[in-house]
Amino acid sequence: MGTGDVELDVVIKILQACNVAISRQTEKNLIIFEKDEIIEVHELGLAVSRRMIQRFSRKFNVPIHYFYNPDQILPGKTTC
Amino acid sequence: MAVKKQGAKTAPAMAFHGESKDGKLSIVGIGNLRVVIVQDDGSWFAQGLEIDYASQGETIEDAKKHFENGLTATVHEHLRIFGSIEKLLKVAPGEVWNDLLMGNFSKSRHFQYYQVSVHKLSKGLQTSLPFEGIQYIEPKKAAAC
Repeated sequence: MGTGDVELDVVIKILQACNVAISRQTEKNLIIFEKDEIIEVHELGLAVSRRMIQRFSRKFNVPIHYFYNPDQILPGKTTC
Repeated sequence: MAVKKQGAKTAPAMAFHGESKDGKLSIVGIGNLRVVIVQDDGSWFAQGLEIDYASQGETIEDAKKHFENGLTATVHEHLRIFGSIEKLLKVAPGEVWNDLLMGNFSKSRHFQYYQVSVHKLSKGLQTSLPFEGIQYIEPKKAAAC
């Protein structure tokens, strides 16, 4: 993992907490991300790279520091 | 002696979407899409310019394969949910262009992307959304909130 990488499980939890619906196409190893009218499908490994994190932050309007400090977004504590 | 043409223009990016008469088959073509690939802390990151879509991979080949598979699947989801690819056809923001095209990367590549894909759609699914976004809360817990 690179220094700016974040584990996929953490990324998924943060995005879900920010109202991004996530589902998997298990047969193709693809993940579907959906929020409002934005729909994207990605093939990701176990870690998400720094630039991909920046992109998710921009695309789904999620503050980037949440990905690196997941405790800040515990349910009921912070909203996106 | 080979002469490199100065100021030669590349063909503009294009996309089309056609449907069969019964609406069950869609054909989508994307052409001349510029994709920039840069090394990102050990892995590779590919970003489309005329279509704001991106992928990552351990190698350049992985990043390209993930871009192609992911964009095809994204097209399919847009057809399934919206019935068109209109909402997908958004150019990457200016800061992304500046960063990728003007940035000082030790390793970067760019390529032009073409694809034609055929999507078989069930009419009944086109307007439905997946249910993963629904959170079911037990009445007792809801009352306590």
